[in-house]
Amino acid sequence: MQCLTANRLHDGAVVFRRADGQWSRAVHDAFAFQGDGKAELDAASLDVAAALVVGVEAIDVTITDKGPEPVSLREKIRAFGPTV
Amino acid sequence: MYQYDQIDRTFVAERVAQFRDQIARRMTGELTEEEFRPLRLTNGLYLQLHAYMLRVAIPYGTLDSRQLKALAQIARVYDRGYGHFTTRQNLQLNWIRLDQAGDALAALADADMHALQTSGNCIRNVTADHWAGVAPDEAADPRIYAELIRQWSSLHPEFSFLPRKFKIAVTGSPADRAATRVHDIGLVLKTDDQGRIGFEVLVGGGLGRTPMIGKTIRDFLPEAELLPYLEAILRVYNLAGRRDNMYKARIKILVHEIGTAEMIRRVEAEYAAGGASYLGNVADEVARIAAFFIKLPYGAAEPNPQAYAERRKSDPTFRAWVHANTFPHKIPGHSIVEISLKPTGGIPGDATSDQMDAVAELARLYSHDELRVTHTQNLVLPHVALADLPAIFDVLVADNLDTPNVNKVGDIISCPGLDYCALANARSIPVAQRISARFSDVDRAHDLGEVKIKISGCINACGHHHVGHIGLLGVDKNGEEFYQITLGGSEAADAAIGSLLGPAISSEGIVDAVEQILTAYAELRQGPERFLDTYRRIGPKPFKERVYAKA
Repeated sequence: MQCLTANRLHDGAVVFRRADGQWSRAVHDAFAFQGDGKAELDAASLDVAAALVVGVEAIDVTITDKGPEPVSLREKIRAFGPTV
Repeated sequence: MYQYDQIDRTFVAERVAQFRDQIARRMTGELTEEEFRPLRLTNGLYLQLHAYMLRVAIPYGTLDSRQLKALAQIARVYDRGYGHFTTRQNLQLNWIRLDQAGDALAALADADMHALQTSGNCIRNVTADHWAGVAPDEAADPRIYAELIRQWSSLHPEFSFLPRKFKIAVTGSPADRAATRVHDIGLVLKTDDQGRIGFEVLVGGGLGRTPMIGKTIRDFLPEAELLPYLEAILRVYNLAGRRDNMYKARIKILVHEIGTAEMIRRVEAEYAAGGASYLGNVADEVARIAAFFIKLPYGAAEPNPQAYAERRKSDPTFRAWVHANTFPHKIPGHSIVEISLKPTGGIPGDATSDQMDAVAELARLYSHDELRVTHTQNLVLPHVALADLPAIFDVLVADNLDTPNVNKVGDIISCPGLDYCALANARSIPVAQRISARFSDVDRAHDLGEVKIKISGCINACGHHHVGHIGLLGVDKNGEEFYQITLGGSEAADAAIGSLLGPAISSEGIVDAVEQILTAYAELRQGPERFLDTYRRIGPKPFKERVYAKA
């Protein structure tokens, strides 16, 4: 499974794309999808063009009982903050 | 302290105004990220993992109390109440918002500071020996020449689009506390047999993915020729440095590919052609700039004042701190105080706004209103009378700044690593925290003597791992953090690139490995040998055997 993440333009905060197309600070709110994600990336590119977010990327997630969580350490740190 | 003149103030203010406008146009979408990114970077604003990061230039690591208090306040208002001092003697703020970056830069400008040339392919913040002006062993004060180079290199039109970034360091001392041998250009001040001031000029040092020790291309460059000669080096590099591959674009690769002799030939030919655009008079400029800095000696001071002597006798924690964190000074009765930003289990180089305020106040009261940032991520009060050490120590204790570990095992250089940095492959800070906690016993740490541990979270080597006595490089192995160990490096006058000890060690095992290395050293050292001396005498084998022993 994957979800889309980006940084919010005006403050750089890490955000995740929800099913309704809004961006959330919480990875657990993210919309997780399977497949190439083309439809999601195309939709998100409109928010890049609208200067809402930058650096949209699809990242691997696993589904937990709280919702999607990143697989890689880098994305965990982005989602949950520095470990120190 | 150098004070901005109207030229400095005007260009910094103009850049703040220009960048505010660029930010506004980015926020409306008029500028795309591709268009905006280079503008943002040239103003020192990066986009990292969690937020924007502002890298503030601290020229040659020198600040007055007003400036450090301004940094504390900027960290409070525009960030989360702390900052991270770096190996380039800069300050990084980790949680900056784009929509407030213009205000933060305006606040910096109010205190005669900026974040220009802390990114991009230009001449970066010039670094210098943090004991400049007060070190007993120096030939001349490197701050003056670093300031001269700052003025010359700021917005230099010819050198704003170099093949790659360019770093210059100046030391006044043969002991080299500025890591000049691992810089694009290293300048070592010296005097000739007639007492005239000049420089040994080193070129082509650097760390990163291809670590190199700089090569001497002039044994003695007279002071008056400094800027025209630097121009000649930069011109040779600007023309011949590779632009086809960013990993081969630094001047060290050029020097390596054409050889030192050919580099000397090209630089000397360029210099002899006399085409330098610098038309000033270096000697006049040196005199003008030198007048800004405090003149030694300042007032007489007792060589062993009573309050100091008594506190030393009665208080072992004060004694341990004096032993580790204060250093001989040019003037009798004075001391150079290094404030460790490496508390046991803490984040190397981090200081809270309140700590910055406390240190600024100490500088104002006791150090002629001047302080320094070291390339080892500590702070220095350079002008302290011995009689004031007890009062300073008490303030440091109250602010958790009294760790007596300068140049000891806990005095670890660490880059921000994967906790903050978009380039990192592994975390650095937690490893530093665990090592410093393991070696928290002061007697043990002091017994181990000078040990320089340096940690980087990726091959770009912001943590200077190649020149650590013990260097650790974080790597990602199938999603797990591992650490390569190099031993025998040094950034000082005995500069060397460390050698890889063996296969990378897991995050879980890395602190044990460091302990095994230092235990082996404690057993095998002879006399007053430092870890580095023992390693150089006996080689890697005994250390390798300990670290990679089969359980």
